[in-house]
Amino acid sequence: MIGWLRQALRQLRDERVSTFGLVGLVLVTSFVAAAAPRVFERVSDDALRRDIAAASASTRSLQLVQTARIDAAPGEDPLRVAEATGASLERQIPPEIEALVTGRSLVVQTARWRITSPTKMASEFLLRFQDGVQDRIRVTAGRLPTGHTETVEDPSSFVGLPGGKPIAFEGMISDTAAEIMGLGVGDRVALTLDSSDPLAGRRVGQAAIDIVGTYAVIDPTAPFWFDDTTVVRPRTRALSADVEYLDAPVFLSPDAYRALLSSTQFSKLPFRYAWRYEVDPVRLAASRADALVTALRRMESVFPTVGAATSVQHGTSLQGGLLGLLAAYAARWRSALAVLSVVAIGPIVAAALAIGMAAVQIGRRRRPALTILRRRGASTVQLIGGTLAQGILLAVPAALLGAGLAVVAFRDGSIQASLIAAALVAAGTLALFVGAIAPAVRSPLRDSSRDTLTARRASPRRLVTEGIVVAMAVLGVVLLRQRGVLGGSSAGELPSADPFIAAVPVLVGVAAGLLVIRLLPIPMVGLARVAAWRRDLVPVLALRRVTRSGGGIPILIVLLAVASFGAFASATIVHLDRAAEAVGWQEVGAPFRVTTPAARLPSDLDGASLPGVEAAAPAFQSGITLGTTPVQLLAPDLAAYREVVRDTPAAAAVRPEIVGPPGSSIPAIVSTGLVQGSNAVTVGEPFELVVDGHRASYRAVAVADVFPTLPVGSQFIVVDRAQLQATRPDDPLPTTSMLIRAQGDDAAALRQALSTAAPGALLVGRAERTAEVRAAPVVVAAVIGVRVAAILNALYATLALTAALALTGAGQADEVAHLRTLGLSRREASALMVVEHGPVVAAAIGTGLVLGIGLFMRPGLGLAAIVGSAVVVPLAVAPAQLVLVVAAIGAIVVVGVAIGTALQRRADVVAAIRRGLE
Amino acid sequence: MIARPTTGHARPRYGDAALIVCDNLVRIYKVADLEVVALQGLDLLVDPGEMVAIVGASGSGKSTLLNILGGLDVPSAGRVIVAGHDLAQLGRRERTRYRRRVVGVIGQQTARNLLPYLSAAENVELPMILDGRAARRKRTLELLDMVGLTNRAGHRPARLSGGEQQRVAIAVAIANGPAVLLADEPTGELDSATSSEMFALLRRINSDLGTTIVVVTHDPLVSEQVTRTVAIRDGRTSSETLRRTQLGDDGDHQVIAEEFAVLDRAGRLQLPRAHIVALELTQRVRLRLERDHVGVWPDRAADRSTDGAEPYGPPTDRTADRGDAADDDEAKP
Repeated sequence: MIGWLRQALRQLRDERVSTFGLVGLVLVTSFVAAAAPRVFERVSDDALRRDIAAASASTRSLQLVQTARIDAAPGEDPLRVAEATGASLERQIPPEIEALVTGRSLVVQTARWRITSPTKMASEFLLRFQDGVQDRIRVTAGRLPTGHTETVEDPSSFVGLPGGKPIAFEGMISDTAAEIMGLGVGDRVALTLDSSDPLAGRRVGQAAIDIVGTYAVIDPTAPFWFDDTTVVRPRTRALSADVEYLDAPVFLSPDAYRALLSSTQFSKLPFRYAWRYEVDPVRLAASRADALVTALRRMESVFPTVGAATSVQHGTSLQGGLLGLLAAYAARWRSALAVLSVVAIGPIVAAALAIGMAAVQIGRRRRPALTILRRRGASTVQLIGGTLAQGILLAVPAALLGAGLAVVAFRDGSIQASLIAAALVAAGTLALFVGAIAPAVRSPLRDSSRDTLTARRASPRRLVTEGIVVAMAVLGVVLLRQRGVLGGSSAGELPSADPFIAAVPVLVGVAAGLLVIRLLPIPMVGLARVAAWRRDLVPVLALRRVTRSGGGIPILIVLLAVASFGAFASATIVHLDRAAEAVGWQEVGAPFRVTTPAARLPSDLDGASLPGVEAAAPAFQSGITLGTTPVQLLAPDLAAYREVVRDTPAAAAVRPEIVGPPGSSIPAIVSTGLVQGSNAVTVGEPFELVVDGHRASYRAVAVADVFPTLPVGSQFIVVDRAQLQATRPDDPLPTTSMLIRAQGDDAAALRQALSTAAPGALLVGRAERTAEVRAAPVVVAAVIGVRVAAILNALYATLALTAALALTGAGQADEVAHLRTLGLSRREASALMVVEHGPVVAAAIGTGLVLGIGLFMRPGLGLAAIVGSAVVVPLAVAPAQLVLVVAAIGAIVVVGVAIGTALQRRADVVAAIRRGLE
Repeated sequence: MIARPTTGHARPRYGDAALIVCDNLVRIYKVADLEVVALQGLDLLVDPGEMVAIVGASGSGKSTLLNILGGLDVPSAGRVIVAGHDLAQLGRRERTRYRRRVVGVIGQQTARNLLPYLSAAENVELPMILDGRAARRKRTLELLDMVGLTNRAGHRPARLSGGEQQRVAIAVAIANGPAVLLADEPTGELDSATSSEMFALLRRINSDLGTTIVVVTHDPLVSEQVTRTVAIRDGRTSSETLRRTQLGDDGDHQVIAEEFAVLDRAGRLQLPRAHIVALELTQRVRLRLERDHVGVWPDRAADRSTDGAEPYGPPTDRTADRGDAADDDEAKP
């Protein structure tokens, strides 16, 4: 055994060039394969962290909220008791979630108290105790409050209510609130419990606040504040068109908590306890996303989930949007995974082809030696065993080295995944290496030249096998259309790509290749017959070689793979880019859009008068119901909107049917879902709606799937603002948003102007949003992944094609040498190779492009989900990019043909004649 | 191995005592829709220790015969026994063992005999490694010494001359002590002096080791060096030339060569082409059994008798011919 292995290894020493070539290929492929999961893990972690970090603190973090009165025994600090309650609740948080928490705080807040003392505007206070506030504010006037309380001896400023003399507490408000409300340090503010607040539960009460200080928040965006902007600026709460209140928190000292409890003992006024847990996005890992989702769902089963604005009446509830964020990330990431899984196939196939070609080269060179060994009595086991030993010596160290380099280059990530990837490369190489010599080991030892014609014809078994592959590909496409690239998921887990379905593109590619191989000779025979009428040798000989020798198959497969992948990659990148544009136009609806968290913009805001604005269209939006279906009613000033979106993609949404003078019913664009189902609206028939208390008749004149600014998939009705206003002449329509066309895409100047005209208004630019989508980690990962895969694919394809052409060229070297003795010139010899492979190249490129675009168009790829929107983007194939793909393939072919021709020219004519044609 | 009949009175089979038995050997190749019959019922017997040359034109079936005897090919029909191994019945493993232990093969092209990446000694050692033999090194040196290349043991084939390569190939072929050595044009690429040396080595192996040697050759010099030459034509053995040395009247050793037409078991023989052409023998020939020979005459239509006489016979009067038969025999070629 040792002697046999030693002799087998001697062979490697003799084949240095091929050996080093194969080792190099395995090393590079192992490095790429081992690096891929590490890079992928890093990118997916980064994407998850950035997605979560981009969300507001209150959305990504968790709050456990309880409505109660937490008191303590005499001598005990009730706030400490409250904190202890929070600690016991925290023990119910799953450890996976708890591992993400970096900050904890307790906020105790009362119901709203109406300020009965004179203020500039009707205002209400919410009394708040919050640990750690003093470290996050800067006292701008006065001092921090203490626990000192005072009984108000002269309650003359209070509404006449029974209950005794109220207690005055020291409190601190923001300097902005003080300015807006017209309050200052030293003011005593009388408070009456707002019984309309659900938390107050129709209780009555009185209290007073001595304003001892004002503050400015050091960092209003700090996670500590949980996106509560009222700590900086009071929130305007509109009860009706004419009645508005300012709501602001007033911070009390924790030492005053017991006193407040005592003062509300009679009414048993509950407090709102919120234990806040700040989630640090840096602690998130994509590999644990599944476990996090399961843990969050488990938490939801323990603590019912409520919205942030909901007043909790019973038990402890969970508030926070982390689950939604994770689900949104998972939806986008699995779409990216689907694309990347298809994308990864390209380089994998190209790498397999490159290594396969190298192995075939080595196998071909070894055929004479294998014949000698077999004639000497070497068994199949000995030959395969020796080859396997050689393969292990070549592949395993190279694979380990490649994996090691990947681990060093990309430190984050699972070593196990990298080792597995490298092991697969080594195993694949071994299989190809042994497979390359298998035909020589099994072929008859006698002179097989008499059988060559028989051997080259496809056996029935092979044809049946190929037929089965084609049938499986068709079945796979059908399954793909039904299920998409993602398989089902069990409850609590994030769905992942179904490997069988993801492999369908490979199967389709192989099936397409087999069909082209079988069908290509048909037109080639015709071409050969046409060429036979001509007098020049090269076309005749080249085309006859193609039709009769069956050569060029490896070249065809390589080019098919690279062309299909190139087309797919090009279409994907273009589509993602255009999808980002489409999202921008869909979400913003205009070059700029102004909204407000206060639900309406100032009525006197004239958008057109802002600096740089060319056109502005005010819009009214309200949530209504049609039957039982929630619907968004949008009423932009369509004439102005037309001007705003002139010459932009959003212009197509403005249908002329709904613009015009008012009639008996308001013409409306309705969403597709409203013309289906039980509450279906009939196009052309009037229907009635109540909007803001006003009933009017509407008529659907057009149906649309989407309308700018409205969420994709929602039900909507769009009417002209002027026509809607006509139905309520005495009640001006408020403006909830404004769509603006301005010079350039720079939003900074507009924001500056708006901050004065409409404080608190939010401006979003279409270009900004599009850039945001393009810069999203998932989109970037998909685009970069496609580009890297395309480059790798091209590199491997170059190697594989060069090897294939070299193989063909070397194999035909003797034949060409003989032809040269008959007078074939060197130029004609080169032309022979070009004409022989030309039809194959053209067929492969054409089929590959169609296949690549077809793969791109296949359902279930989920490209739209990558951009985080269901917006429909028409298939976009950029001709310029396809030309680039074809040019790149052409360059690869030129390199390969040049090398193949050079090898042909190296053939020694005399030696070829002496050897004879085999 | 073939089971020999156990009864003492069993009729001996054809070629029972021979080392190589080819009995009505047929080999047909299928090429596209055509069938090519390379061997058409070839009979051949080679005794143990013989050295036989096989000659024939290109396409006569020589290489096919050698491939079959070497275990590289399987006959389509007929029986072929080599050293007790029925080659038509061997399984794959048995066939591999047969190639290791029973036959050694030497090809014409040195590139097909030696592995270029192994030294001469390593090439010689290779068959022993394949067969799992011990004491390989000692035997390797013995073999190299036998072929006179001890001082070239470490050289690779590229550094050996053509003759040296063939000598190494011979050492490789006999490494496992095979019963039969098959050589396909072993001197085809060598000059006459080297060819002579090569053949002397083969004769020494034949005489010293008792190895039966079958040489396929075009070279008339080679065929003159063996005691028996078998000619193959159209897939059958057509003639054999036997050589013997006898002492002449002048005391010198003379080599006497006699050519025989081969009579197969069905009674068929192939007439030499020269005879056929000379007498314009076509389709049918007349035969006549004489006391100690069989006469063969061309069938000419004018010579056919119409009086009911014997259908066979020379065109002359039969009564007169019987008396002069002995004289006529001497005159005929």
